[in-house]
Amino acid sequence: MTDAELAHRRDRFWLVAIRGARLRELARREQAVARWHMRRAQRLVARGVPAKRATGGRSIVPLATTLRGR
Amino acid sequence: MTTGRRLVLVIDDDAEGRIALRELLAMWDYETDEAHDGTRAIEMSLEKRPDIVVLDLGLPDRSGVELIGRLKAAGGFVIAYSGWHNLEARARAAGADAFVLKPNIQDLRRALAQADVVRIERAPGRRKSQ
Repeated sequence: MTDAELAHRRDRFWLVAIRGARLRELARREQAVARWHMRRAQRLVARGVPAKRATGGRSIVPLATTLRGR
Repeated sequence: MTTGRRLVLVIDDDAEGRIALRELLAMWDYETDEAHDGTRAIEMSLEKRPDIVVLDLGLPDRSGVELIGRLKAAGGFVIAYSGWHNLEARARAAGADAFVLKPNIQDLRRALAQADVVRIERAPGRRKSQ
């Protein structure tokens, strides 16, 4: 492969790399929020608050799924 | 009002790449601005005095390597990027503080971190540690 072909290929992948980094950043933020909600719920449950109330009436499953990384 | 966020000037002739890069930099907590060619890049670097300049070396109106010196004169940290690996030596010789070979986005992250370190070291009132 010539230098020009290599450079062209790198150019094409640049946009893909940027979008990939953006998606990774979004996933990282989503996980951070899920972790915060999960810890809060765990803290409340440890203090005797019913689980359903500790999670604000939501199921814990979506949070757990996000934390597991899908 | 100053927000304390660093201003990054993104210079790239490819609109799609420029917008995507701006979005990514905004997520990394940088303030961004953009220029699509060398002439506009020089104007904006003098007008806005960005902390960091992220420059695509393949510009339509002038050579990115030649542009580096002009951008450095405005005082920012210059990160050059290209798909051509043989441009690194020329970019660094022209004064680029960092070079990123496409499509290595992790190198861009490292270069931005390096810019932050340089900024802290150059901050007024900072004593040199022995």
